[in-house]
Amino acid sequence: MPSQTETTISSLDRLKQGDREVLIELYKENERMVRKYITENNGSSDDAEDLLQDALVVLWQNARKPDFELHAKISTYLFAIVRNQWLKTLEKRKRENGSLETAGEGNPDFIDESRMDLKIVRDYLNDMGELCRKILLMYYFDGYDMQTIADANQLANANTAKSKKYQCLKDLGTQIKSKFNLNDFLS
Amino acid sequence: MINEFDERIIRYYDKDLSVEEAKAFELELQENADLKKEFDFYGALIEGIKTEGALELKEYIKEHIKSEEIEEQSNLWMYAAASIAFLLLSYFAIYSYLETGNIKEAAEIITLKDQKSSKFKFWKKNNSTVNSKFIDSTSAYKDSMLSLEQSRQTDTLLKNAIAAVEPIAEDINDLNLSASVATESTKDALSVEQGMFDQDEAIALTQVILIPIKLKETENSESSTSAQAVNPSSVNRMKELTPTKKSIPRITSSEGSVLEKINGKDSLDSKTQSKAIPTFSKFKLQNFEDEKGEVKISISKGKNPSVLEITLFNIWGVNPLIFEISGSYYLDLGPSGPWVEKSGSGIWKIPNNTGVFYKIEWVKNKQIIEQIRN
Repeated sequence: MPSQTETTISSLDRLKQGDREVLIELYKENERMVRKYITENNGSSDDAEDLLQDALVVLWQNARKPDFELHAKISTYLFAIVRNQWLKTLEKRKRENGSLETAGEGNPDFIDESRMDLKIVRDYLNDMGELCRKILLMYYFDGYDMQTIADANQLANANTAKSKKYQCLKDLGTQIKSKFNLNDFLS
Repeated sequence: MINEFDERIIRYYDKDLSVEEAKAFELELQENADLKKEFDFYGALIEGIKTEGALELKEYIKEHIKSEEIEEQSNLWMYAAASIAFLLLSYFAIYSYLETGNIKEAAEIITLKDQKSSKFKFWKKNNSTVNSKFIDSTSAYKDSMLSLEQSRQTDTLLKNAIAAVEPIAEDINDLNLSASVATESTKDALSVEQGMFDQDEAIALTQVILIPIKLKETENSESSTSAQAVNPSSVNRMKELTPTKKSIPRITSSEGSVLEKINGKDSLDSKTQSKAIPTFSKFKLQNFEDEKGEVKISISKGKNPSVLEITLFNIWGVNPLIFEISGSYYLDLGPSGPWVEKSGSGIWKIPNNTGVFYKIEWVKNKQIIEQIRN
């Protein structure tokens, strides 16, 4: 039976290789702990689920960063993210409502879906060709290097992938600029 | 003009600029408002892409967790269904065991496999060749059992009496009599004999275990040619015990020669009969009511050659008993029954051959009837 350290290293390796199944395993392993903490601190089960998913997203993104080092168990790391984010959410709700009574309502805003500019970008991104969308997501969200992106998309090499990514981002900007005034978009 | 900024902005976000280039770019950002707007714009694009990626990944996690929960619930239902099936199966097996007292048979029920469909069936294979609905007739035979038990007790007395007179009668070779009757009540005997009996439904079975009365004629008897004395005792015994023997209501015996004279029609010649009819150590009687309602009697030999199986269809006998008189077997269903309306005696001579008999011809010979009934 592997030790916890071995399990953590194994999970991280799988995350770096882009194995999304690890996220499901980690979710199930940590769900009870997170749910207990959140529900005991003015949160709901929905809050707990949302926060754990967000923490897993953060782990997913960080795992591929060259300077990312994990000195604790993954569950400790995830719990730290959840706890910090939940305290921020409570503080924000307290400021907005003057009390904690509504703490259980709505989703925690770890990932801000309410910003109009981001929603417009997402809409246009989804209207782009599949290759552009995939390259942009792989680079800016997943954090893959250009060689991996080139391999995954049957592109000649890393430079080709880089040029394609640059072109795609510019195209996305051009599309939005053609429809929106820059000042309005950023306001 | 703004487009000229694009490449540097993107390279800055991608951390592609050198340290010097990055510092120079940051200074320029502070001084150039248009560049700053363009820089913020690209920042929003990248943030939007990251948000889209994060939401997509969250959706992936949600969907997988949900589908696994559904699968777990399905598994729970499957486990529940399997448990219920197992409980039903266990119940059926235990029920069957309690009914038949035969664990092997109970096991057959639960392991019987349909070779064609490769599926297990949970019902019992019907080995019966007779499409019949069995009706528990145990209660109807209680009197019979009691009567036979009494007979057995009386017979024990008879045996004791025989033993007592045996030394005296050794030199007398008139007639040789040995008789005993044993009965076993239904279910205990059934469990033992179940394997020999093809009628799976036969739960309430009346068994009449007959150790036949052998009546051997003396050497000077008219019809003694083939008779061999089983016990070369005793005319005296016979004579002495005759009154006692008459007190046995159901199992009776009579001198073959006398019967032969009386009953040329119903009784076979003892000489030929001793060859033709085997001696049965046991009779199995069981009563069925089939859907057709036809009156018939089926006779077959059991797996054990000394067991004769007699199945009565739609015949409701009272105290059915088997008698042997001079090598012929008689089935007595009792003096009262549907046969009375047609002047039937209720006594049937068990034929030499096996088979199914639809037309029941009742014994008419008054002497035999009297011999049996009295």
